[in-house]
Amino acid sequence: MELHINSVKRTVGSAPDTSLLQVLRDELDLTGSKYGCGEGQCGACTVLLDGVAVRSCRVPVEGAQNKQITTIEGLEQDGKLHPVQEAFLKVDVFQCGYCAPGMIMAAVGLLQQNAQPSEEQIISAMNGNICRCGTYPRIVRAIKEAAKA
Amino acid sequence: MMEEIKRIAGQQEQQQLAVNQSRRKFLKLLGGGIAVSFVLQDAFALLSDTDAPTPAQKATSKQVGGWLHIGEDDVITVYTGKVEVGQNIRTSLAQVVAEELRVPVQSIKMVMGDTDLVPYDAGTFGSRSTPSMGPQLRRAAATARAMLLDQAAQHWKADKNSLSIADGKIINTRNNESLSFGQLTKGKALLEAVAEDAALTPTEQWKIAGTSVPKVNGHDIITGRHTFVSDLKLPGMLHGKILRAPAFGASLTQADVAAAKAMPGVVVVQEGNFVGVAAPDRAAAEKAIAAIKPIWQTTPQPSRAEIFDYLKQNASTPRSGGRGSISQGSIDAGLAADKTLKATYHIDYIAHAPMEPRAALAQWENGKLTVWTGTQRPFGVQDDLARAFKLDKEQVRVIMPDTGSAYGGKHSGEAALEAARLAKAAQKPVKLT
Repeated sequence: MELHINSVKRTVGSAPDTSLLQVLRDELDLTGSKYGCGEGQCGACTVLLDGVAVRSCRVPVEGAQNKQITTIEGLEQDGKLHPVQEAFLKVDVFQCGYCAPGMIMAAVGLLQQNAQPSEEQIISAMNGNICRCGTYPRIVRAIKEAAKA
Repeated sequence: MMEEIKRIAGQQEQQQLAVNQSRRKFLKLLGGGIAVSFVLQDAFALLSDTDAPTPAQKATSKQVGGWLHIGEDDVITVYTGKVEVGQNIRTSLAQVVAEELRVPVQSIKMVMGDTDLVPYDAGTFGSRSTPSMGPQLRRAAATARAMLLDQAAQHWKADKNSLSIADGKIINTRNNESLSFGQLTKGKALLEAVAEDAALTPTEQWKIAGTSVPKVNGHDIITGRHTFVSDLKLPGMLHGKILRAPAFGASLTQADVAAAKAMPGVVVVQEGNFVGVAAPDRAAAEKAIAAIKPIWQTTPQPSRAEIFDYLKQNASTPRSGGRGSISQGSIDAGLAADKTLKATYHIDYIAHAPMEPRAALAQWENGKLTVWTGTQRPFGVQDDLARAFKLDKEQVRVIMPDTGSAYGGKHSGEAALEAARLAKAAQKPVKLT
């Protein structure tokens, strides 16, 4: 099976019903995307499929064929952080950071759909991504920063 | 507890012994430079924790609690048994040391929660890291600063008042010469116990400690590069899976593991209620565990709808007081107000629910067991593993990479024990996620 991950073509041998997250983490060593709940409830595994934020633990890998997959590892370009990463770093959002990759991918997905979201739109779009450390106010602040950039 | 403190205080002559032990360990570990260790006060700090250590832990607690080392290569390393679970002590403890040593925060390397490298610590809980470990490291760093100034005074045969310290260098203001900490300590192996009367930098003069600084490993976190336990991989590593009970208090009556055992590359461990498998990949492990058809004996448990009433009816006698409890004002006076509102709120009965699930990677090598696991008590898990596998503690190393939160829910080391059991049977490293 062929996948397009972070602008690179990768061939994978996992069974078609294996979750995209498992293929990324176990087969391709792209461990940035995290396993949290395995039920699509926490958002730690969020990646972009053709620019849309999805829960990679709920996507069978065959469903990701012929789509552009973007993971946290693909955001940096030529050693330069993505503006959303810059903003999250500047605001120093995270505590334990386990939710960080999923949170950032969800934020990138949001800003690709809506470059200037209102606070309500940010909260609504990010509602499915859980941060148990409770850094939500800083997450909202960082997304606003990124929208300005 | 006072008696215990007195008993330990009465053993002050053993301090020197402990220093000698740490000196040997330290030099073996680190080579030359300047080192500061903690001795007696750790016992007090440990005894003041809410979760009292076991007697076996107390026996070692009088030795060392945290180390500070400044190498000939100018690297400043802090060794502490405290662990990082998102409270950001990797940064805030480094700030405390950086302040006293007059160096940037980034120049401090924190080695945390590795039982082979750090001195004993009872655990990271009860919001004790900042109030107990912070002041200890502060005194250690101040002690190291005094040692450096002594060395510099000897080197230049100068009065200490003519020396200043900034950016990892000691400057002789008389002749404008300067030496880095490493240059100053080259070829030496200096070890001192932390000085109780170390001259601390007054808080009103703080430039680094007590200020808001960026998380030291923030870049790794936002790029997904930070390696959590579940991200670790060893050559030949297998993936583990455990047969989980369907209900609280269930016991296993029967489990036919023949089909799982027949699968290629699958190792099955069956001991009482514990059934686990290890397989070359996660899918194979999941398939193997699904092939086991267990019969569980369960007892009725309260449902989610019933749990509140159940807990209310079955609660043990409430304890009065408790940590942080204060009492002031009058309920009766308050309820005598003109208007009162009465409402009852229920929240779900939930546990800690850290974002990173419990995980462990275990490896046996030449009879020594190494386990990487997210735990608030690396030394507690080391004890548990040593007991379970009848090993000397020295044969067990627990390493705690910065972990995806805990909230008190990672005191125990079940995942570590399970992964170690599977790895022992498989004779290969096993990761359990």
